[in-house]
Amino acid sequence: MSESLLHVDDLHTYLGDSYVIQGVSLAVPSGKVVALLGRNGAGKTTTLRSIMRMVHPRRGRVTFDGRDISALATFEIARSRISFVQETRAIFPSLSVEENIAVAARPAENGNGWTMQRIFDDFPNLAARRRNGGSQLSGGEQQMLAIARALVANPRLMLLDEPSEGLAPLIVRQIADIIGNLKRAGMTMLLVEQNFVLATEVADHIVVLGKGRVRWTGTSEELRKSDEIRHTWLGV
Amino acid sequence: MASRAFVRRSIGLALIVGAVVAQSFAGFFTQELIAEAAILAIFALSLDLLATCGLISFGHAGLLGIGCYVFAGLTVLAGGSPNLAFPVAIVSGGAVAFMVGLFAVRTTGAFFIMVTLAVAEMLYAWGFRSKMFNGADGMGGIPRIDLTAVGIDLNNPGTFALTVIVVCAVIWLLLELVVASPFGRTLAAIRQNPSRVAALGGHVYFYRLAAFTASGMVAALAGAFKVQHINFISPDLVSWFVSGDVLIAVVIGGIGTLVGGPLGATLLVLLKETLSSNLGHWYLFLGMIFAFVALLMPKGIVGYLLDLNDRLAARKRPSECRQTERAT
Repeated sequence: MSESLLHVDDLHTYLGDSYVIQGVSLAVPSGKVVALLGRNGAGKTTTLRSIMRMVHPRRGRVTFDGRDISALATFEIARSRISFVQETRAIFPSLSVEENIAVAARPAENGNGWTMQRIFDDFPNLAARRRNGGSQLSGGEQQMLAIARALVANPRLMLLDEPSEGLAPLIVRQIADIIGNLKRAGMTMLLVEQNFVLATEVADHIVVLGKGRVRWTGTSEELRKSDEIRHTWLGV
Repeated sequence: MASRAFVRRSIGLALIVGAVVAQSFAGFFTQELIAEAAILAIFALSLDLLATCGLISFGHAGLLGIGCYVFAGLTVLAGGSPNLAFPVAIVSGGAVAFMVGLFAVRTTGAFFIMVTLAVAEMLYAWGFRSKMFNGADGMGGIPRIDLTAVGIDLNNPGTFALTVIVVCAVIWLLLELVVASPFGRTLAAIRQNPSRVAALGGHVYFYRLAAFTASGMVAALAGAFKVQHINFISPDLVSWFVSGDVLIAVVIGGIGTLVGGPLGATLLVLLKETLSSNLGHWYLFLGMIFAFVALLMPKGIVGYLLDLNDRLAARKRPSECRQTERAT
């Protein structure tokens, strides 16, 4: 697995007194999509937040592109080109759509990456509302804005936390298409998802978390066949 | 319907025009009041710039005081030119704010309030005992900037008031540009949620430090004008009452709106004057008025007007939709 872009090695995280992540290790190979599945409270979001150091793990190492990032500050991790699309969508309500995107913009090193213009070409819904306040958007539009904002930072890795949560089926379809398109364009992603269908459709590799530990890893195909794993750790 | 920025800028323009017109008709006493209000307005702008990134200082008089003491020291004690002392005072305010900010902006909320208050009180304690500046008795004879070369005599109270109004207007316009810039938008994003900004790669500490430094420069500029205006310096200029007054001005006017500070400053100076010349315990009545305003308009006067504008816009929108439907 030496070609992996992201390596998480034996991560342990406490939230207050509760031992939430109990030694999670996983790897995200370059250009692949890894889905992190598990029930509520399994530690999926905390794993992502630990990678970004928005919570501080007690123990464990995170390496990105061969570089140890486990001692960096959150903004430095983001600047090393990891974009985090948070579960809350994290839109700034009093900033316009355009300003929300501008806050995160970081030009690509090779000069032909995502720009504000390219975002508006690819996301016509957002272009139509570019001057609207972040709080005036629908849930689906907010999710698209969150993904768009992650893209203008021209990341090499995207962490997506439940992008389909709370959205109507039609909108979930649109979000799934966006993620599918990004995958085809070669984007490396670590995806946390409750939507089993969406996750298994888009992911190359699945990691199942349960009670803070990795319980199973394999491909989407293997997970679909393994009823026992699905019943015990996912409840589907 | 008018945008929020349009409403804010209209209020600012009305204030400037009102001040200039009032100044041209005013006698000596009113001109002095207008100058006092305009200086407090500049000071309030500096506090509100800091509030843009979510930091509330309760020791801003300390930064004002740097401007006061550096200007007074360089002119009266060192015998230097006030024209040179003025920019030096501004830069000193920025330098002190930068150094204090290095540790102060690591904190937020109540901790930031306490750190800024503590630093300001240190300056007050020093000024109180300073033999150089004649301690608590204060020191007079502070000269004003000499602009006679360009035909402006600042020793004329009307001219001085007008000059301070113009400087205040320029600073306000500059800060409007800053707040609308990508830098200013990031400050606003930090006020709303600093950890979101960090997750997007924004160096929150750097932005806060920059805002605090810029705020210190503007506060020191107000301080340098303050000692020129009253020709006198004493530690009272650095006391926490001064920090409190400017905070009240910003809160009453509308925090985070820029123009709210000058509006609140004007009201504060006028109210103080009216109340103190007619009533005994006038601070009590001032407090009651402010408590009342704060209850009715928690976002301040400008904040209230902006929300009112939004509500009117929302009421108007459905009719616009109907019109477009008919058109298509």
